[in-house]
Amino acid sequence: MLDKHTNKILAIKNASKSFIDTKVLEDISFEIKENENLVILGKSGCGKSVLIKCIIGLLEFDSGEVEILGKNTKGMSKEDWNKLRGNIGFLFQNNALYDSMSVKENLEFPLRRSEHKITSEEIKDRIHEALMDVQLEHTIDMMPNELSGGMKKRIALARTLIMKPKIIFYDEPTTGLDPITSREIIDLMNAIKIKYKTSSVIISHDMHCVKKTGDNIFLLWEGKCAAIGSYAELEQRKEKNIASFFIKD
Amino acid sequence: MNINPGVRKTIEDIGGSSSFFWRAASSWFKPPYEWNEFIKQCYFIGYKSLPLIGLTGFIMGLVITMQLRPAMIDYGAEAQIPEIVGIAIIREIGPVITALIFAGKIGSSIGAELASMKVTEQIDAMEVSGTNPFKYLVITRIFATTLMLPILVLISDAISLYGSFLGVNINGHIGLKLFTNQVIDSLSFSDFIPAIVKSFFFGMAVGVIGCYMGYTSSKGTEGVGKSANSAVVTSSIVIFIIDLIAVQVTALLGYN
Repeated sequence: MLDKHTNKILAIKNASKSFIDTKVLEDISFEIKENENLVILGKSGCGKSVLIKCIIGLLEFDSGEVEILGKNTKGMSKEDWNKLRGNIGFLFQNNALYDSMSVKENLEFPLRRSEHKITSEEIKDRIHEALMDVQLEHTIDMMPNELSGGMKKRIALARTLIMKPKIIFYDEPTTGLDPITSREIIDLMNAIKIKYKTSSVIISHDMHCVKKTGDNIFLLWEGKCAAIGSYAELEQRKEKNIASFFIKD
Repeated sequence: MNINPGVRKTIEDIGGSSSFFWRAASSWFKPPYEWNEFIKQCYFIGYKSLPLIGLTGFIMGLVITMQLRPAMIDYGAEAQIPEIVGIAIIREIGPVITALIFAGKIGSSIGAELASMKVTEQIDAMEVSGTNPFKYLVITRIFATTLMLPILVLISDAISLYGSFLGVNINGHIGLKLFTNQVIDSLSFSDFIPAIVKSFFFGMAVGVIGCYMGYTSSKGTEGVGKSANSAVVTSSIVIFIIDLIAVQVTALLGYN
């Protein structure tokens, strides 16, 4: 599934997106290698969520190319997308847990819908493992409305993990959480990276999260790439739009 | 031309629902078939609506009979109450009132549920999980409402007639067997068929409009309330429009 020569997991080339007359993304290009985390940093409304929704096919780029796990997604059929999505995880900003289903049913859902036939025994084992990973085994029969904000985020993460994806997209994983829970989620994301050897695209404007999770940072400014580099590199940059993210009190 | 915004919105909703219906119709016989979700929806939409539909049906039969009785006594036709009530309930009042109650309960619930799923990105999450949310959420609900409403209408009709029987017996006396015989004698095959056929269309309209309002909802949480409200208003109007068309069609086919 990987690009054999470069271990490239994801590559975006010259991608652009507009809504009616408004250009949201312009000429975006970047690559992510195996076991690498890329943070997309930018102000609210600069097009970060649109960017990852375009990458995973919930929206479509107007131009440019996307290659995920060695597959070019341009003109890809629904069936091929469904196969590819078996290797992609997505943690939604609002968790997107199914309200009408228990925690167990939420975790079962992607497994039961999978193209690969998974036995009931294996489903049980995977649910157990995913809940162990997020340390919430006791919530298995609870409904989403019985969980706290942090617990919901962990269960959503468990649902993302259950398909054992090769790449995970995190849409503002720490937004709306208290600092302690936020740190716990960051630790969990790093633990997942080590245990499952996943690559990740993380959207965030929480600088603690950016610093702790990102191998590289892609700075999005007014729909364009303002800079790419490590936290330490970007921290030294003097341009006003870049430096404004790294201001220390 | 100046059109009242409320009227314009309702016309837009009817137009939008029609194109949504064609989108659904073009995909509902294509696999995969979501049987489990369809059965679950039939349970929620049909079985869970039964107490409300049964209660309103009972009250409807009782009240119609009590209101009708003084006028029938004036005309010396008290004995014809079972026949008149039977025809009115089976042909018109049963299907239309049941469909309106159904639109209020199920249409609003589907509209609010899907709108809430959209706002909280649950529909996107379903797509990311490799599920076609349109088939899973929309097609199953449209089929369930289409199938369940005619069954609920038949049950409601039966309960209404029992309510009518009790209504007759408040101030008079008639045996259940005689009452039932009088109702059955007054009805023919051509009274049942158009009523059941139009109930299928009422059910489909409630499902399509509820799903359309929820699935295309916007404006965040504010949109959830609006979707539920629009689903009921538009469904109710469409039910009367279908009823009007059904009367014309049954007259043309010689069922009147």
